[in-house]
Amino acid sequence: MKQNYFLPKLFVYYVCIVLLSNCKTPYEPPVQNEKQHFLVVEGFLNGNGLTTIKLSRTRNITHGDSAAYIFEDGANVRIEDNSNDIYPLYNSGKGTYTGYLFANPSYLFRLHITTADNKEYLSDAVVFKPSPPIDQIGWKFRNGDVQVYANTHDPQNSTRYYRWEYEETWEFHSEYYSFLEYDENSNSVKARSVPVYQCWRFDNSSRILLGSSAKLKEDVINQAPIILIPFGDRKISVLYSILVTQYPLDSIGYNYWKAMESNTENVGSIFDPQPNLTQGNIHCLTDSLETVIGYIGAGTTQQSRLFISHADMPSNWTQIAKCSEAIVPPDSLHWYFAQSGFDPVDYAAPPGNFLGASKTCVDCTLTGSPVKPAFWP
Amino acid sequence: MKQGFCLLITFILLFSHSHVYAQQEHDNLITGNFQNATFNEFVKKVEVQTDFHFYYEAAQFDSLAITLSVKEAHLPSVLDRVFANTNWHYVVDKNNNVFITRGFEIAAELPYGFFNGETDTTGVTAKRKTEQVSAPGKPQKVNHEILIENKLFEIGIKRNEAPKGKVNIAGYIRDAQNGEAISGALIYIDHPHIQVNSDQFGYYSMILPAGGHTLNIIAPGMFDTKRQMMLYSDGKFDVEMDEKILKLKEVVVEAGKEKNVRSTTMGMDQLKMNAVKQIPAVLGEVDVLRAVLSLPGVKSVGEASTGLNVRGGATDQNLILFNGMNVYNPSHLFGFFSAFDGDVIKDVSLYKSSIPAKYGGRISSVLDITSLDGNDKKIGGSAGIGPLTSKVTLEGPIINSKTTFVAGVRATYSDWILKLLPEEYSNSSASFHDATLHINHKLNDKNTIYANGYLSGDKFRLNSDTTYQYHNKNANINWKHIFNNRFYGVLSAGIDHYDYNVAFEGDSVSAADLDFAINQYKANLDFSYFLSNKHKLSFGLSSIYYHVNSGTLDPIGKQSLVIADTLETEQALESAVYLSDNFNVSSNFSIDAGLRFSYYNYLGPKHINTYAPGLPKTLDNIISTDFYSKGKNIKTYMYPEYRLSARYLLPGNTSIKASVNSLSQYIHMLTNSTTISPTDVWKLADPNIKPQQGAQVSLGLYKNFKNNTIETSVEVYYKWFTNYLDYRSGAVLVMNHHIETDVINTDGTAYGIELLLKKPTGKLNGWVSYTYSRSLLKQNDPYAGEKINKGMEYPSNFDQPNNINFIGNYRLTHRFSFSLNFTYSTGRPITLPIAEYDYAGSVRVLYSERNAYRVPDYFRSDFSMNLEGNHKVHQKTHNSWTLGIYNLTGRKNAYSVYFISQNGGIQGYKLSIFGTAVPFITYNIRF
Repeated sequence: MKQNYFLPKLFVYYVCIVLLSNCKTPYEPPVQNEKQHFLVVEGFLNGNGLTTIKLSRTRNITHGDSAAYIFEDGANVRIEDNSNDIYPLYNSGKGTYTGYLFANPSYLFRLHITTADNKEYLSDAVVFKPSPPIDQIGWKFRNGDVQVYANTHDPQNSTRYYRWEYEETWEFHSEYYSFLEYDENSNSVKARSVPVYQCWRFDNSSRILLGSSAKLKEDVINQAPIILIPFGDRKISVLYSILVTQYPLDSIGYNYWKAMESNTENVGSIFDPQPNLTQGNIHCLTDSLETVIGYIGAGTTQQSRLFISHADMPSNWTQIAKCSEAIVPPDSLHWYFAQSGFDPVDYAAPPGNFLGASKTCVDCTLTGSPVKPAFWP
Repeated sequence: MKQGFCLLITFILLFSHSHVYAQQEHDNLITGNFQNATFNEFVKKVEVQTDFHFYYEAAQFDSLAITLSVKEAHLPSVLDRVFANTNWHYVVDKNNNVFITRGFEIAAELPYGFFNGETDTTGVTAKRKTEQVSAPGKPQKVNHEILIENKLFEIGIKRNEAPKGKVNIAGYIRDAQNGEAISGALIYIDHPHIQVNSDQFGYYSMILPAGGHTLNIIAPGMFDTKRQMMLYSDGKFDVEMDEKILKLKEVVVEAGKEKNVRSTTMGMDQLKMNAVKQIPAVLGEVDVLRAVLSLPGVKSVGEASTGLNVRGGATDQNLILFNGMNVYNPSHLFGFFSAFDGDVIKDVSLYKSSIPAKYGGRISSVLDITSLDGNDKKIGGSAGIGPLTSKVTLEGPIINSKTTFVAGVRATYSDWILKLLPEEYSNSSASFHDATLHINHKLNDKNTIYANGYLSGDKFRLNSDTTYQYHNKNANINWKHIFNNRFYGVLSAGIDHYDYNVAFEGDSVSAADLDFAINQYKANLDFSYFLSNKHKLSFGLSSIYYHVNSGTLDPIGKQSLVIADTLETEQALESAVYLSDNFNVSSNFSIDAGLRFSYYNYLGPKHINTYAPGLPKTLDNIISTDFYSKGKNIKTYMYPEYRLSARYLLPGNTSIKASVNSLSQYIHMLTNSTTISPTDVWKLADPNIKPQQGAQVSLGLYKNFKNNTIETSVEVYYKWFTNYLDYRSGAVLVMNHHIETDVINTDGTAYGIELLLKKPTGKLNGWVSYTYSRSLLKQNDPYAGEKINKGMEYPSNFDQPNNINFIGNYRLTHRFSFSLNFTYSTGRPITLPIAEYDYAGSVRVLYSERNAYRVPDYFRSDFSMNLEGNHKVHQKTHNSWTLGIYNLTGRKNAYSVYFISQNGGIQGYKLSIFGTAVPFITYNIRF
């Protein structure tokens, strides 16, 4: 039976065919050397807080080499409304410009930029769009993972398009509580001066999170996905918190963000559309053909914070980290604690010996901050 | 000497009815490889191998050089090939003596009236004669053939005086084995040179001078044959031909021998199914569309796509007809396979430059797929088991060969593959099926009814909350009536249906169900009138009523807040009349000239937006919205379409052909992805969206070498089309009440040169083709608002300039053959990121101008072997194994290249669909 002999082998290949991701290999495009660096404008004209506008330039593709970032400093940036009020923004370095505007919801607002090389840029005038409050930032288990979601609604049915950003904070603990530390100068182990057991880490959203109720009878957003925390993630090893900021969008702005999302996050499957070249709402007055990237909206934002405790996770959530342990004899202190990436944890027998463990399992400050955030309970 | 001959002739004639070869099938077979051998050498070799003895005049054969390769072949078939296109004739007697004559033939039977005093036989038709010959005890095939070929057929009413004037004969060319009609057979006489081709029913009609003729019949995949005839007056004459494959001679991949040189059609390729089956297929699924992709000028944007781009045209510009039924989505399983079951298909014809006037409605090509007619001799069938699908085909006569049928069903069990995937894919499922039915009922000699049905369905869900389903459902009925020998008509009526459904059930509030459907009701009346040998007219009319459900969105479940929404349905009537004339100006020069006039009405009920003239079509620029009631004509478009092709025959099996065509298309496919996907919307032309129009000019040179065993051709073409649709950035194609605001009119041009070298017969056969072609688009819509590539020309998604195909088959023994193919083409264009920037917490990319770069070049080689069971004729089943490897080198060809922001950086990925060597095995059984 030739067939029987061949079939098991075939399984392997078919898996590759159907599971397209297995047939995905990294690809280096031909080297690009774009001489021109286009202006990138990011921000939101915020009616209920500090307005932050970031100016930068496009750069050649660098694979995450931050040294190549080009910030646009020294520009004159101001917000204008249709009653001729001007609200200047102040450059605080790294292409960041901040300031406040007086929010009159009936006005139209626009952003006006004059760069250091004397080129003038102007955004379209946009309506001021207040955001309804966030009803709830909640979470649920989804196939064992934790899905954080947002609910909101607008009784006036006038917001319709939403975007969210978030800031995550989580507390985590070292695998070992160490009250000892090694002093290289004296080649000895002494009591630890600063605790390295309890730390916090922070992260910001990097995906574009959009929601639309345009096709619904009511302006209701139900369980819009914010972030999926995979099973066992150390983010929820003690206490996790997420602060979600909700931005209202108009339909043009929604399309712009959607296009940016699909251009960079959703391409490459069989039926995905080809990249599109959506224009933002900022134009160069000096050279009308120049590409300018960015979309400026105006309105108010809403925020809501969620805490998730490790106690709410199933008992098998926390996986034991891989830690090397060693009994360090007195004559090997320098070797272990200065050269081999170990930290002392405790005394060990016979006297003079120490229990050592790899630094990453002892010192949480290697990956986090030991400073407790102000909002932390 | 001469007297001796006469005696011999008389001797042969006396025994002609009863004699049967003395030797067995397996004796007296000839094997040999002759390269420019003299006839004497040939005879010596044959006489050594067999107990045949030759009688001929050696001096007459000085100039004959024989190049031939045969293996265990019967003498008559070998001699047929040796003497093809010569005026040599032979006859074999029962003692295995072979007599060769030149210029005249030794007839197997004397013509009536040869001897004085014989009584007149009136109204004897050849048909009756044929039956007489084949009746007694079913002689062995080879002998039967000799008898038939040497027999003199009398046609018409015999008169006492010598026949004179012109006589019309007509009839069917069929496969002797199963009664299948043979289309595209060439029927000709040499002196004077008169030739015709059989049509899709295998029917031919020709006018010949009265008197004696040798009628030659050649057809792809069949043994050449000839008939001796004495014509008195008009009559019917059917010819049965023997299939080559039955004699285990050679693998057949050919397109009609010198037909390529002689016919006026250019840019037309016909693939017989047994040729398609030789080509290594992915996962062993015999796939007609993939075979078509190996022809010059045909491309696809990727491996997971059976969408065809013919000579730089878009995937929606091909009319795909299966027995006259228009199939909208010809693919299965995300586009991996074509939706046609290889076992029920007879042949596939692709018209890519001169498109007959009979066809219309698409501007790039016509792909005409024909099913088998059904064996009229016995009930039979086949079954196949492959790793993905199983299939069963049945065919045969129902009522004493008046009614025949073919039915095929194919279903998949691909779900088991998905079950083997990791748990995260456990929500995936995929399945498909298709079924074909063809019934052929012969009411009488003049009337035949053909009925066809086709169904295909697909359902898949790949690790998501969304289920996709689509279906093709088609049926038609055709009535062919022969008014007289020269005139017949076909009346057809049919329904074509395509629908899809997308159900999203991920989240109870937004759970929804999207439906789209297109229905076509059509009627055609086609006539074929054989005016004279110089003029063959085709004319007719057709009408299609379209009813399109452009989209219905419904909430699923009580919690869903999705607003039920329905787009207004679209209705239109597309009608056409056509007339074409195949005009043989002289024996060297012929023209096929056609005119088609198409007339299109967009009909109510429908609301139509009117936009301010001279401004972009945006919602702000609507000046009025008018409602048209049911059946009211909203907009009329009409276009004359011309179809002209000409052929001039040069000495030495060479010809030059030229053609000019124009076409119109009243339906657009809206798609934002590069391939045919299950959510493509078909949109009828309306007041705001104009029909697509295309035209093509082409020129070709054809030459055959070595007695038509090597065919070469060069074709160049230039084509252009207008009102092809592209899309604004962020266009919404689904559930859009004003789609005209999201589309942009684009013009296209395409040009190229196609070189083909083909060896259709022999132990080693196959073809090599090279194509250089370009396909460019340009957005020239002044009111579009935005301009792709600033209004400059840019390459289309399917612009792949260099393309080389090699397909080779080698038959080692009767039961064992190999196939190997290679494909190379330039990578398709893509839009690449040229710069990056930070936005919304991540690195984003800025894209280049549309299609400014290309994916890496494509190369693939496949290998397969066919192992047939034994070939004893009288066993209940015949079985065969096919095994092979798709993508032998395992090259990871790029289906697409894309970039995502990942871990704060931009990472490019290359996606390969078949990124490894894929072995396959299938088992087929015929009964």
